[in-house]
Amino acid sequence: MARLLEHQGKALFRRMGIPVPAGRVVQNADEAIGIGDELGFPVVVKAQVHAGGRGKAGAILFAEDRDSLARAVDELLAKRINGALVNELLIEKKADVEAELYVAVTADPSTRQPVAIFSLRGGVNIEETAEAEASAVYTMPIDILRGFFYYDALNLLRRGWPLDSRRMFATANIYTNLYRVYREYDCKLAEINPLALTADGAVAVDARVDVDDDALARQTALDIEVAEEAGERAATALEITAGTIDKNDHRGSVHFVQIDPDASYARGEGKVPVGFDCVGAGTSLTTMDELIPLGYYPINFCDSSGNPVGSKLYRITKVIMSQPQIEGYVFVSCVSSQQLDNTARGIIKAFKELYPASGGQPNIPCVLVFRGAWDDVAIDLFKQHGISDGRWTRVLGRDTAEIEAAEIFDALYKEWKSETGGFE
Amino acid sequence: MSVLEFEVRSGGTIRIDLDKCRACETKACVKICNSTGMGQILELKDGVPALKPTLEEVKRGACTEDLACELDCELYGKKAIVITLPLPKLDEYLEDLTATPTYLREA
Amino acid sequence: MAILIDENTEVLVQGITGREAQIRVRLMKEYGTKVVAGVTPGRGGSIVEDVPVYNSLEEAKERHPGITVSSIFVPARAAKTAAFEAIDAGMGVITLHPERVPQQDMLEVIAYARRGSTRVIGPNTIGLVSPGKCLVGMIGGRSDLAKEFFQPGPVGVISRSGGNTTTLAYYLNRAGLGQSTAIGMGGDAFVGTTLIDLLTEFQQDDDTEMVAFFGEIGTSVEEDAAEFIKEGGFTKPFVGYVSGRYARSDVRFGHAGAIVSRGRGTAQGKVEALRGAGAHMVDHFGKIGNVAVKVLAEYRRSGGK
Repeated sequence: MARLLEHQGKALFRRMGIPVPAGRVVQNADEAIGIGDELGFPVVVKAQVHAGGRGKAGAILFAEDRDSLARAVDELLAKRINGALVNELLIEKKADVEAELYVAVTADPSTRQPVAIFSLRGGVNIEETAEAEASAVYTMPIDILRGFFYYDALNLLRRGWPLDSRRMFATANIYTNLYRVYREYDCKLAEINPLALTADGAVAVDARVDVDDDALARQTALDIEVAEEAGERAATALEITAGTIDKNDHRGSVHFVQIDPDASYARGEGKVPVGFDCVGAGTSLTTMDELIPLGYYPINFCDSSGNPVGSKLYRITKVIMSQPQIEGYVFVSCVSSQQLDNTARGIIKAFKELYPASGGQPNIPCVLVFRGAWDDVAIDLFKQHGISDGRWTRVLGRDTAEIEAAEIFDALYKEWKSETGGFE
Repeated sequence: MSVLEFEVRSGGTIRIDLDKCRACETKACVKICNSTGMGQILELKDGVPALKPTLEEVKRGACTEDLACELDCELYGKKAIVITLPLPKLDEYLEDLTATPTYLREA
Repeated sequence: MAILIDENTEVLVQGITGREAQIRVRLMKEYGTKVVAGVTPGRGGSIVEDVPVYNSLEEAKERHPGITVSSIFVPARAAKTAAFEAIDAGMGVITLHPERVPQQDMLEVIAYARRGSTRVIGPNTIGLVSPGKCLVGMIGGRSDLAKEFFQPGPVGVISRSGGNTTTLAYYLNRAGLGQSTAIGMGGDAFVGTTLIDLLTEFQQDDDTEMVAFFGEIGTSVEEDAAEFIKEGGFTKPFVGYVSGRYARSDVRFGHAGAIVSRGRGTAQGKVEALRGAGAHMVDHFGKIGNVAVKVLAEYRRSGGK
């Protein structure tokens, strides 16, 4: 998901006529002091990272003068916010806030329409408010073919508005401009929390803008490069490696994600980390459903679709097996029309290369389940190449459900562990 | 030494040592390449495998990279085929890796 | 009978001259589907797999007035326009196959379809099949496999996962239960036809005695359907599985996402909601066939009550 940084979101707001505090992005204390002098103290210093909950994570500091500003800048630049390094800070004039509102536009999965959300009680606790006191949060579905007009916004605001009408009207205008941001930039979410009411009018103190990845191609006005990097976390070296497999060859795809790159989550939960490959994302989920309660945690997610060529399976299998923490490997296909004989050939070639001494028989427990087109050929290939005879390999067919695959893996892992002692 | 070598779409090469092929009785590579659902790019010419399409066509994707020629040659032929499919980023990753992948360890 | 498509259905393919579409037209025709026309703007007058190609749907409908279904194989960026054209041409059912259709395009298509009576299936759908009668899309992959994996019978199949549409049918076949119609709803969060819509169709279909469902974490389609079943909208037996019990989701759509989802979207929550509505939710996907057999036998014994 292309989640914009706060200052990027605010740039879009400014373009659409939504007032934001005066401010500038800096990378060091010297720059910051210059900006502080220019804006006038007190200022607020905000780490520009994608992580949510910045306020609670200590990513936002206030400074009364040059000294405290320099200290705040150095403190934030040395910090990790929810794991993310801080490279940029936004310095803004501190707003004199009288009230904090919450305004947002997103798509409601139930009504399958855009929805405008409004609360008089904006700020960091908006989710708790929404849960504890649903009546404090107002929503209005939007007919996307009709649009969202200022009087729609007024009618939404007046449900809870205790303030004067001039301010309500100004806020309604901001709201319709926020809807324009949502539509113009193909957002999944356009959120101002808080929209601060000050003596000078309303101002967007924060900006959360998530752009639809699937619309990036037509969002040429956005800095696409920035947008594409703007996921929740940066891609790992192994994910980047896997990404090169699909780059120049569109004959099917293999989508690889490390859900637990250093296996720390798996170990923390007392689970055995395993390498994982499935045909069909749905099968990844159903197989995880069975493996995890038995004590095994797939530390990667890999889903092939569109009938990938054998060479892709060869390369992705090498990627999966290169995760040093794995103590097993599980492959399951949905009952699919993917040419499973070619899938098998890719895996066999990889195994032979990784395990030359044993002729391709892995030294860790491996369960492979082939179901669907040419599954019989796939299974036969593993036999012909002598891999099925491996002490720690089970190659299974169409009659194997996910639960059976997991149980067979469980039994195999336990034997392996007791006979070899594992890697300890 | 005569060799048939060609590039494939994903970035890699297939190299066939034709000297070995002359003594091969099965020509398993040609057989499997021409079965249903496969690339069907190899044919026998003068008793050894040759390409039906041009090198350029093969590189553009005529070769479906099912890897069957190499694997069947290994089992039923003369081990004359080597398919090399580099993944440079993986080599970099493995070089930087401080831990050892399990396939290099002993259980 | 079946729902949405049967042996008399005449199908049009939008984007028929594309590579993917041509493969799928072959699949559909080999299966026995009446693919009578195709549309690619600027390619009118050509022929693809013996199917005449027209420049627009209006033109195709003039020549083939019996067309009621359009199967759309255009690039994602053109999906909205293609869907609008199909809705304007009065199609009863359209299947949107492209992946990665921009979310707001889909919201517009959903809103536009609401004004008329077109059922939009997808986007990102594998298609649907009424076994032995008609297949639309790419379900099954090859006609011989589609015939093998989908058998005629009494169970309506609905899946949020493309691949698991076939796996679910396979589990049912293995237990001796065929399908009336099997549908991949499409993997996206915003699809044109929801679980409630499909339950409504299956409720009205006399040949469908029960529904088998494959669900996933995310969205609220299962929770919404549970309410619908509770209110009496669907009275036949429902067996289902919801996957993703252990998926750790780090992706959050801000406060707004939490507010509109109101805690819905977890696999556990979906299972509880559906169980609360009387659905038979299995703990293991692989057991769904055997459970379906028992549930259906019980339903028949009780005289369909």
